Amino acid sequence: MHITLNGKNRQIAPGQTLHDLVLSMNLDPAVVVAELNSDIVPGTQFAATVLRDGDRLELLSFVGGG
Amino acid sequence: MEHTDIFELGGKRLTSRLFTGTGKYGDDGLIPAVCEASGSQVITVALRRVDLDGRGDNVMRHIPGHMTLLPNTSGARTADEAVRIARLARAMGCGDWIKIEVISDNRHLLPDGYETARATETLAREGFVVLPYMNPDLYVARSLADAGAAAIMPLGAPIGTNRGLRTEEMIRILIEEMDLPIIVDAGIGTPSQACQAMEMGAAACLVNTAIATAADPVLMGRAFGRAVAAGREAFLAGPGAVSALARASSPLTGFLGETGGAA
Repeated sequence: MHITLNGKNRQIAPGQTLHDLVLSMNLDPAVVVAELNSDIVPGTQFAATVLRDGDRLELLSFVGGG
Repeated sequence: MEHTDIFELGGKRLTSRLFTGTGKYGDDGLIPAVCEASGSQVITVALRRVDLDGRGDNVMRHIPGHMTLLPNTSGARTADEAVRIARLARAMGCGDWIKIEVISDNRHLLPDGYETARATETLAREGFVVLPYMNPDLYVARSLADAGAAAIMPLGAPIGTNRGLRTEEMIRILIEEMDLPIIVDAGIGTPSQACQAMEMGAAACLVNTAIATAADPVLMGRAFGRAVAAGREAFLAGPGAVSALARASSPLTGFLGETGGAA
């Protein structure tokens, strides 16, 4: 199935949770925040969030800034 | 001195009045040493999409645990975008401080006062400690105070220019007229400029570029920490009067009793 991740089309396995996806990308869930179909998903809910076909997902983290 | 002069902001009791940033470092690994050398207790970060391709280093790895995190809403062009970024930043679980930055002018990076006030109102109502970056304009300052800002952050000069306190007279007016703490943000290029802002009565200074792009950021961080503390002490001490004519510091009698001596 396909989701839109940070504006780009991405194919993922059905049934994947947000937690699975983040780990598969070598990201530390503790320093990532997600916005799924415009709703904020904090890291504590990644494992309980199953992704669905057509989801629009943004994954963000803190970077250097002033 | 530094332990009796506490800056209370957003429920925190700060002993340092220097806020620092995490942008523009050639090596983010220097950030812990800069925090240590400068004494800063508040540090800014930005929020962006994660890098899906490369293995980007995470800036959080370099921020000491005792620092109060001040995420900014850089990248926001409207109040709604700033609110969205602020909520995402809070969901990261690193506190509820937010520096509002709403900018749609990419050449001068000047903040939009109207949109900034709108975002401030929404986020203050949601319980954020809101620190809006602003042009030092008295009416904008009042609207930000009415909107619930915890402090206001007027620019000394455009972001990243290191040009100093170009807005000195306007910042002086804000310090005189506003009850909110004034944190001078942007443009400060040297420790003497930060010191001057503190002598004027600013509550704190936020310095990123001048430290991060110095040849030796750790040493520059230490210099800024000392300058901000010195300026604060001078403000608290109450500077003596300025005079147009010379006024002798020594007795105005001649060396052996005759009149006419000086100095």
